[in-house]
Amino acid sequence: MKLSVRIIFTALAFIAANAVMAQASASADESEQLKIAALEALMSAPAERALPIVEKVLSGSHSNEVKMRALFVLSQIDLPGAQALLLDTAKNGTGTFRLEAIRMIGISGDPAAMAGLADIYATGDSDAKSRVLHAYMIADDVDAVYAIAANATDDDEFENAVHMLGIMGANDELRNLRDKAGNSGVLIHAYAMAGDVESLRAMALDNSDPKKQAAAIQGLGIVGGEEVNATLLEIYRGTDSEQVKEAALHGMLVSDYDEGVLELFRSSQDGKEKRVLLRMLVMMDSEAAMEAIEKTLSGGQ
Amino acid sequence: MIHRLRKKQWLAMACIACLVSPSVSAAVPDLNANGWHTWRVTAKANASDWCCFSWNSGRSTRKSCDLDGRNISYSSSDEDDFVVDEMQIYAYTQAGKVTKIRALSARCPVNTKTEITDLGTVEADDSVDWLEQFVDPRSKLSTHVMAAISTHNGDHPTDVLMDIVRNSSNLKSRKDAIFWLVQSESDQAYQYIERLLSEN
Repeated sequence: MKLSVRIIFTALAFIAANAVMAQASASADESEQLKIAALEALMSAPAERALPIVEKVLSGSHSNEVKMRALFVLSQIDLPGAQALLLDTAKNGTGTFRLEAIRMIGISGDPAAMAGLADIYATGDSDAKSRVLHAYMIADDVDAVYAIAANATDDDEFENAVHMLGIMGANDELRNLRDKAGNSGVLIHAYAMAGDVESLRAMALDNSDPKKQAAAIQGLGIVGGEEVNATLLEIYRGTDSEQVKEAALHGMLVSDYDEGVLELFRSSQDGKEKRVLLRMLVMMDSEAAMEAIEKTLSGGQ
Repeated sequence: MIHRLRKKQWLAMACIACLVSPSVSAAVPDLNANGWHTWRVTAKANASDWCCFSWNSGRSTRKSCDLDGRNISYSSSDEDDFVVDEMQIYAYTQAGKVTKIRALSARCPVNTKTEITDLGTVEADDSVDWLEQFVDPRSKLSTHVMAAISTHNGDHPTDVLMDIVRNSSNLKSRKDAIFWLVQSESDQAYQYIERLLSEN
């Protein structure tokens, strides 16, 4: 009996303690939310009034979330002092806070702070370098990313910068890099991301390097569109290489060009090839495939 | 002194600043009659010219505010840094209940479907006291009420908004009050925001 009473009291105490802790936690959460609301409100305040308050938040002991929000507000304050503090945090801060400051420089786009990113890139570790590339992307600073790619001293650095140029749709800069090193794989991928059909087409029709050609053909598939589809069909029909045909088919699969595959299927006189094309149509799950299967089964083709 | 304006439905109202109601009321009277009521208050220092604007190719043009519209966005033209001395508060009553509250610059033209009862000029603190009753419990009025309070002259609006931040049971209202405190641009409000942000 005594044991039961103790258990009940223990349980009640546990429940009460949990309730108090939950309340304290909710209160702490509300306090955080109010701080974030205050920081967000400061974005519409006069810059001269907002900056000293944001500076204090950044130098105070706050949660990561509050400080991150303060960094964002700082990036939106159009005062040299605010941008200088942002750059200083990007250079001398620690951990994720420093990385976020780098990203925020890209969001602010302030020319003086942006100029400081080159130094951070040159002296930074791989995380810092990656963040600087992201900052350049956010600020749409193609020239800075191109300079990194053009002057890259190792493959990783080159690939990361080229990848970013692809995301940024920097066709001209990517074309300028065509002769840079032998790293064509990443360039082809970047051309595909940038939607540079012209460069991909030239490489897809060049059969001097079958591996490179196959990668370019698949890149065309990623870009897709009527012009690409016609090119893929042209490449398939114009080659005897199984590898190139396979790449062209794969490109049609990626660009969802089932009409082209069906056209090849209908015109093919080779049983083995017809089976390959039919399998592809089935994989594409198209109405055209169903039609082809029905005709095949009924002896139509 | 209550001055009733009679206008045909949908007719644009004349500039509110032109209304003739020079008396100063001690408080906002009971708004028993259905429809729109309005009163003027002294605005905070450097109050913006809150009105309605249409935007075209990045350029804003002042237009008449439709009080009966679902939403009025408070804004002031960036190109026109006009500062106003008076704000015009509008309250709509339906079946004895206040259902809409709006604050606009006293020189902002408005239009309504119905007539507007002009209550003249009211002391800013009294107007704030009247508005405060609509903050809690949270309703669709709350944000408009806090916006209106923030435009009033004196320390009282700041005190009321700070009290909402400290004591409202509604987190959204507390956040709104913080926003409007910052908009009030008073030194007291900024000191409070700074304290709030320095708490551990």
